[in-house]
Amino acid sequence: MTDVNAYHVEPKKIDEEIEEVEIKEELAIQTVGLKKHFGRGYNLVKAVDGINLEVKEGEVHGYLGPNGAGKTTSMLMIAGTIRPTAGKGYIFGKPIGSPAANKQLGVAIANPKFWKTMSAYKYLVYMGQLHGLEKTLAKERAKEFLHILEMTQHGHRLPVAFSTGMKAKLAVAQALMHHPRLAILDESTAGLDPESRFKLVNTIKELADILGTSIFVSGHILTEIEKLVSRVTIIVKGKIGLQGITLREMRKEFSTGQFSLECSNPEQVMQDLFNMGVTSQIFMDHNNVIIFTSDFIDSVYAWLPEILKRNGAILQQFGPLEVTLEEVFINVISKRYGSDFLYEDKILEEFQDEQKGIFGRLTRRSK
Amino acid sequence: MEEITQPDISAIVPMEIDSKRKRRKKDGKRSFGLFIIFQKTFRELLSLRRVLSYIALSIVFPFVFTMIVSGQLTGTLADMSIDFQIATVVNYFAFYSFFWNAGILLILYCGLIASTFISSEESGGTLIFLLTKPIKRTTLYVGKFLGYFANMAILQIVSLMFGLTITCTLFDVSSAVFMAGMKFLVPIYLYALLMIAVIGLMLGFLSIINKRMVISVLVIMFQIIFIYFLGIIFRVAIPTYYESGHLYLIDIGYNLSLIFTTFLGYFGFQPIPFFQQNFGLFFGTYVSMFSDVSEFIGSADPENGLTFLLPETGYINPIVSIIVMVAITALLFILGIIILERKDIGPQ
Repeated sequence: MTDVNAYHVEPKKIDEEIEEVEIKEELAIQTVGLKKHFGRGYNLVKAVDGINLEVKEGEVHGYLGPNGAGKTTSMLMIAGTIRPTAGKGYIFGKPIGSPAANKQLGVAIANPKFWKTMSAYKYLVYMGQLHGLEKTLAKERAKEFLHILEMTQHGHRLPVAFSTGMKAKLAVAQALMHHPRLAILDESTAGLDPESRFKLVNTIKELADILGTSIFVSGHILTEIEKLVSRVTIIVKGKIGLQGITLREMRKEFSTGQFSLECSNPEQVMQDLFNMGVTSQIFMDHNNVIIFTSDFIDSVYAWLPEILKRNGAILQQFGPLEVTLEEVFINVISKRYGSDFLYEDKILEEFQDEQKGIFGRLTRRSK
Repeated sequence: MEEITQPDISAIVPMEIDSKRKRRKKDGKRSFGLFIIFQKTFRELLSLRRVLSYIALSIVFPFVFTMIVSGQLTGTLADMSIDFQIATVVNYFAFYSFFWNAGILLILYCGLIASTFISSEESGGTLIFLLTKPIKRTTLYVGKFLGYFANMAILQIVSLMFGLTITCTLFDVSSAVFMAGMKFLVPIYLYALLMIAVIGLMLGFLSIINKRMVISVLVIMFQIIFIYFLGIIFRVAIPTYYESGHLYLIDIGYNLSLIFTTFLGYFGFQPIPFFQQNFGLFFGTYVSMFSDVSEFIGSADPENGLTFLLPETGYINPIVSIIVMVAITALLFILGIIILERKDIGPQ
């Protein structure tokens, strides 16, 4: 992880075009040329290198990227805990890092830490009060959120003794309890088991719907993010790889042109389809689903009932094969940085081993 | 412990649905970040364990000190004139207060608290949440400082009261002496408040630039050595150069003792020889045996015997000492705020 406390580079003169940016108050997040560089000279790390983000009000916006892409750094810059090297950012038109911007914001991060002497309930009350809630209201909200997140019976326990899942829930509660207009959730479900993750993601989604909160969320479990978000932005090596695209647009743009057919007796059905000569690249995946591409899809639609009838097969599902977020993610990164990018760590490790020469080889052999 | 009851879920009303006026009415009085931070810091520092340990330590030194000096007195103090009783009690009380209650103990406690204002939150990973709240970083720092200041101010008055009570009890003096001693509690307390503020802001600055507890402890220890023991080493080792080389300018102990005696002087404090000799020896406030006293002894009144009064060295005007100390503290405070405002806080 990038050391955020390393010496940061002095802010450069902001470009004139950034100076003249039109501030859109209707946008939950707006960044223009946002940069964060750590170190200097040979040790310079461009953690975030001029990103332009736009998150609309009320939407759940996914923020994806491989490890070290700059997700956390850019999210924390928007949250105001890391100061940008250059560029500007706004939350509903208010400059990032200012109390006015933070007033509309709730933030939950991965592996949250808590005070050792404060119970979960008191922690929530304190956090609510810091957000300007009057004490009685903060207490009410603390109780509400403990109830919603099924933690009422743990309210008087110290959060430091909580499980990872409960800590994550508490962090989400403090981020949403003051009903913010925007919530930034940085890998809030990291370290949770699948069941807890599923529950927490659903709760976040429900709360966001009820409260009308815009959510800017990052995470590693792409199938989970896919359920939650309406648009995604992909960041790679500190730069935007794919900008604020909706899932529908994404599926269209990254569509492989493949169709899937799920039915009984798939072997015979696949053979008949192949014999018809209207399909290409036809194969069956490990779930016995027939996958194919076709330039004559209308003919396939027309003949499919007959083929199924002839083979005594029952149709379970048929349609274009939906591209997953994970496939888009790999596609974007591979297109931009080559297919080896995701395995860069492994390649680097091997390279370092080779550099070590005979000692490296001996080490590998002993392994 | 307050019971956490399950809320009425129908009461969960989205903020956006409420009208602005209704929302304001429902929210009632808004909380102020500064007060919330102050309150939390104050309460945390007022833990029973901390308070008891502080009070216990603040009693030990006056107790031992009074026991020793009372054993050295010829006769019983209570049998002597009331003026002598007051002068003795007040001088001993002022002496150990400067050394211990408003001295080493105070610096140790204040230093340990102040040097973790920001660093403990940062290394504990809780600062990141605080910074995402709608409060300025300056407010966070000032709130913590005020919580610490209020806490230490209360502990300090209790500590001094206990000290005076112990001294009066062990000397077995009347309540009139105790009440006269209370008058001098005011300047000592004012000096202690100044020290609490100065140490708080100086070590608070350290808490912004340093996260390691080891360094904080080393700085505090160095500070104590520098204040209480460096001056005496200078005066013993290089007595003439101390004056000619203007070493008193960097002798914090001398400057603090000057401020302390000036505060006492405003309340009509009359130092006895014991006080002057020891203050002269340790801090150079009065002409001591390590200074050139021949001129002074030659002019001493023989009728006074050994109870002659030593003159003040008067190297620096005490007002200058106060101004310089306040200026350095203010500078560190401003510098600390600037660094804190620019600091990047990431997840731990």
